[in-house]
Amino acid sequence: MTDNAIELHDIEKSFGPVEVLKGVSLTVPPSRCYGLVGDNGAGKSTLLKILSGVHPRDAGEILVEGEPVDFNTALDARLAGIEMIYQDLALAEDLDAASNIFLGRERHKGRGPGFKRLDHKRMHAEAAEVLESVGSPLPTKRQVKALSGGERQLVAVARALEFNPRILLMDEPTAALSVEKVNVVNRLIARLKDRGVSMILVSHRFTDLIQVADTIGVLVHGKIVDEFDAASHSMDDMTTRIVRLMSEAAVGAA
Amino acid sequence: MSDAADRDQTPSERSAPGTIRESGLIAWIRRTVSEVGPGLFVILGAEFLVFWRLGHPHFIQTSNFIAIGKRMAINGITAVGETIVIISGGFDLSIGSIAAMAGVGSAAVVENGGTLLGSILTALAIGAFIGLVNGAITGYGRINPFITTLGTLAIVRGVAFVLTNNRQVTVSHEGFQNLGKDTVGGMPYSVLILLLTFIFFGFIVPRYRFGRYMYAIGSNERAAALAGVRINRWKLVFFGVSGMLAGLTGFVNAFQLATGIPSGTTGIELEVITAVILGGASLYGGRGRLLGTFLGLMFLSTLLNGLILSGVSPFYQKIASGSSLILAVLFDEWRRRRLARG
Ligand SMILES: Nc1ncnc2c1ncn2[C@@H]1O[C@H](COP(=O)(O)OP(=O)(O)OP(=O)(O)O)[C@@H](O)[C@H]1O
Ligand SMILES: [Mg+2]
Repeated sequence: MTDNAIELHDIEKSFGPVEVLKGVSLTVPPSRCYGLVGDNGAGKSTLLKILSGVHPRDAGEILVEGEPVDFNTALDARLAGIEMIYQDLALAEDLDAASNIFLGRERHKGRGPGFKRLDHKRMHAEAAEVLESVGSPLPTKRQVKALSGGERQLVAVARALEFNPRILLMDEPTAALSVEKVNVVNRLIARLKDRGVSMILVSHRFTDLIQVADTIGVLVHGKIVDEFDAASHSMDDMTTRIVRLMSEAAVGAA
Repeated sequence: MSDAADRDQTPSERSAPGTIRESGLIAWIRRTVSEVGPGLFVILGAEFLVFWRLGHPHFIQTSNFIAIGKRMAINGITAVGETIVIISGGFDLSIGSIAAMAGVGSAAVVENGGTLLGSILTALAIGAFIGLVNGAITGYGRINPFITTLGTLAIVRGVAFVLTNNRQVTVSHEGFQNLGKDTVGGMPYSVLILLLTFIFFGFIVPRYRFGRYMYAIGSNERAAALAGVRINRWKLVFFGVSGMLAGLTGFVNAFQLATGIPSGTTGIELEVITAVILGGASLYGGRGRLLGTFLGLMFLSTLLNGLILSGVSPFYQKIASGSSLILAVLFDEWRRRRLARG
């Protein structure tokens, strides 16, 4: 199979009178990471949420592994092997870390249909494992509201990884993380690529993004205005290019 | 790897609801006291001491405790449903009307030659149906549960009046009457049903998705939806259960009085919601315990009973429940801010 993992064709989206996406097209080949940058309000989160089934699109086409898809809910996307780390994390603060990781996909005791009991022991054990793998061996029984910002972020990352997604959408997954934890997440991304996971990564940290993304797209006012191969450019080159595009956009908007 | 989950767990670890933690009675008690709030235990104890004196010699008597228990049963069975709805971020004002409608319905069934089983099933079905309607309107219709159930409160009461022409349904069916008189080892049937309801849901909540999603949806509805929880279906379940238990309350009330009264159980939502909030459930959802509700009920039923035995005019009952409600909500706010500060 040489189908691309994700193909977006001319995606458009407005919220009322506000045109947020004005025909976005991009392609993510299998086992690749697409880095998406852009100013605040450019429409990055909106684009990812369309892919993860949160928002319906107004126009355009989405192909996942060659097949046109139409997700109506976040559950549809999850069932299709697409996991998303939301910018606001989307955690239930009154629940503990393990419950959040398994929310909507609890492990059960016994088989068969009907009323199955939750398997707390297994969920805590697996949660501990996946949290460990993201470099955050925190107590799985601690309520999320009692966690630090970075710890919460890692719970969200762990949740996305627990279900072995084929496609991973990450909206600022490292915003609250220390340098050390960012490196852990970056290494994870590299390992996931080796395992065949395809990704879109939104980040304001260019320097980190450039390390893990294969292609970088610059979203300005709802359009991809530039796209380049990360391997064929020097880091300085790319940084200047992105900064120039974004400041031009800012001037244009002013 | 199985003990990894217990790593770093200290006794002071704040535990999350809806999950089973360390086992053992002592641990359970410690956890419960810390989650429900030690204040309620203290208040309850103080209340008993006060009425022991003021209500002497009538207060400390088995017959009086049975009276308190019977009163608790009416509010308590439906309070289990109310707790579930409130923890899940909802609100159910229609329970009193549902109970009246179900009471009339169950009385009518036995009066028209139906069986006891048919009678109770009718009450449960009426309750579940109205609850499902509440759930559908709040979930699929995206209407605030306060408005939804305020509406059904009026509608259902109205329907009960229309169907009966505001006439009571007096029950002559012996088995039905006996439910209100007989006891199981000294315990009235109503109290037995109350305890079974608490035990049943106390068993379900920590062990099944039902409980997990009740806390998750109440805590962060959007997050639960994004995680793939089918929110609207679960709202049907929660409101359906609340309605069904309100129906059960109606049945119990009817057999205790051997009558189905269309104007009965008016305003019980006030006492029920007061008990739930007193018991530590948050009006914002996501937090609360059934045991807390049980203690809240004990407090309130004892208060209303004790006031009467102490010679206070029954007119003061409403004042006492209303004040308790406001104090409970103030307490909830205070507790929420304290938790937010860490
Ligand atoms: N649900 C919504 N309803 C109305 N407008 C919305 C909604 N979501 C986003 N918008 C608007 O769409 C625009 C793009 O928002 P989006 O969240 O996609 O930006 P972003 O690129 O992710 O920005 P940031 O870097 O700040 O996260 C913003 O102007 C925002 O106000
Ligand atoms: Mg964003």
